[in-house]
Amino acid sequence: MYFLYKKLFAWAEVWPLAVALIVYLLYKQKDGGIGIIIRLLGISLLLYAIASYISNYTYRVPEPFKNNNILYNLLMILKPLMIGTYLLRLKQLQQYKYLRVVLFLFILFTLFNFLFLGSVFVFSTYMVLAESAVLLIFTHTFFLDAMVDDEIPLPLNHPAYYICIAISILESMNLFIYLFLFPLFYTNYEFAILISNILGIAHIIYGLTIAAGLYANREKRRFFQPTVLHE
Amino acid sequence: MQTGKNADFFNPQYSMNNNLTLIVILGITVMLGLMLSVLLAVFFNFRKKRQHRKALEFLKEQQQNQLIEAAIRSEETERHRIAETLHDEVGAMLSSAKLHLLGIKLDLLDEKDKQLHEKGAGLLNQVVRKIRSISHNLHSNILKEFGLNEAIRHFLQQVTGGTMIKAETRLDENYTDSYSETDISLYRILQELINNTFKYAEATRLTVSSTFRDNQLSLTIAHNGNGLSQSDFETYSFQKEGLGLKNIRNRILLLKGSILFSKTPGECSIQITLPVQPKPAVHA
Repeated sequence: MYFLYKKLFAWAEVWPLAVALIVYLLYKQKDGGIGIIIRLLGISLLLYAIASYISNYTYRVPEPFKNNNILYNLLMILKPLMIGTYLLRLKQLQQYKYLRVVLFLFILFTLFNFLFLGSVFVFSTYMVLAESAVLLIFTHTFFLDAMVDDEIPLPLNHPAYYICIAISILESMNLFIYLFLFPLFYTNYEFAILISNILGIAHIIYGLTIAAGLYANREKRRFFQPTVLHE
Repeated sequence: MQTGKNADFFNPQYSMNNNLTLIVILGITVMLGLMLSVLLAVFFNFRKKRQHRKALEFLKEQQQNQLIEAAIRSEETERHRIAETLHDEVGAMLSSAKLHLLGIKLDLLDEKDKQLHEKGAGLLNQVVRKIRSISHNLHSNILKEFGLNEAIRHFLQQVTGGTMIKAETRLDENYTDSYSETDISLYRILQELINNTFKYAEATRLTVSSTFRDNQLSLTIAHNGNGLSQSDFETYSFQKEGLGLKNIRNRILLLKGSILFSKTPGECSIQITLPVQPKPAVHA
């Protein structure tokens, strides 16, 4: 049991995304705009799987490939860009012009950060801050708009709600955890381990909430469709 | 020298550790708290919006029902007025004309005039009967006095009398609810449907049956004509010309019932199901 619990947390960034992708593979989706999220899930699954493998089996990895920071940095760039694009394509968020500015500033900051502040091979806490800020601005604008609008702008089973809930929970935890995780490893190791387990829980919630969103957005099964018998 | 656990507080490294841990815990808690507050606010906001929308829909439905009810009531009043005018005024005048006609001495007339007199008297009789029949159909006297089952039998007898059409009734005698708004509407629906069946479906055999169980009255009209299917009914009842079917739809809507048309080769049926509230007992 302890072994399973350990494995679940060691691969917490990977298997919830796999669950979400399995839901996508099983059910055809209603909304066409979900494609970019599926691509993000696919890329995230691949990069997190490699990163988790490197951190869990460092001794097996050849020396030049032992650094997985570049993968996390890449994900920190891709996540705001792809989720931001998905949300900007929604009709209800197109009126908020500042979101485009935020996305543009994020790109500028990314370039500035990796050109002048730090290397892509070093985990960038500035990027953690920027990623969380951008994603929280997007998701909170989405929720604010949903509240301000007199009507319910999107059906409640729309995947955008699930994606925004998943992102906002993950990022609000991510922000503080990643900012202080590395200093904590040096000063309070046990607490740092506990915190990284909490981060694992955040990733599990993230992946499973997106999986629930994809299930809610299903149109029909791709395989094993029940046959209707006519008399 | 450290003598116990408490002595760690004086260690600057321990204090820094503690502060960092506290910041992280507080930070996560505050961020999660904020996030959950936003989610809760969205959830309650949506619930409120949904309740508001439901209330609006209910009001809209109520208003629509009131409009339909008013239209049906005014139609019923107008039917009664026309029926009374036909019966009391036109009928009385025709009866008087008939009396005058019968007062003519046939002995003084030649054979041709006798034939004309006979023809005129026959036609006048037919008109009087027709007027009485129209007046009874428009008025709900029989319904009022003898109930729905009897009114249906009487109506069928009237429309099929003197024709080749075979009409049969199998009505549930347990239904004895006399002269309610439901009965009038149901009777009008039946009149319209049966008239349509003879007029458009060209049926030669017709059966009206009913069952009354668990406060649900189910009435079925089965015939061998070329009747409507459910989709035909939906189409025609929304067309401008289909006033009769529109009235049927409105009455069914008002009574919170359902109507189902089914069509198979050689057999068509229309099933009406209505909830009937039991009448409160009248105490002497």
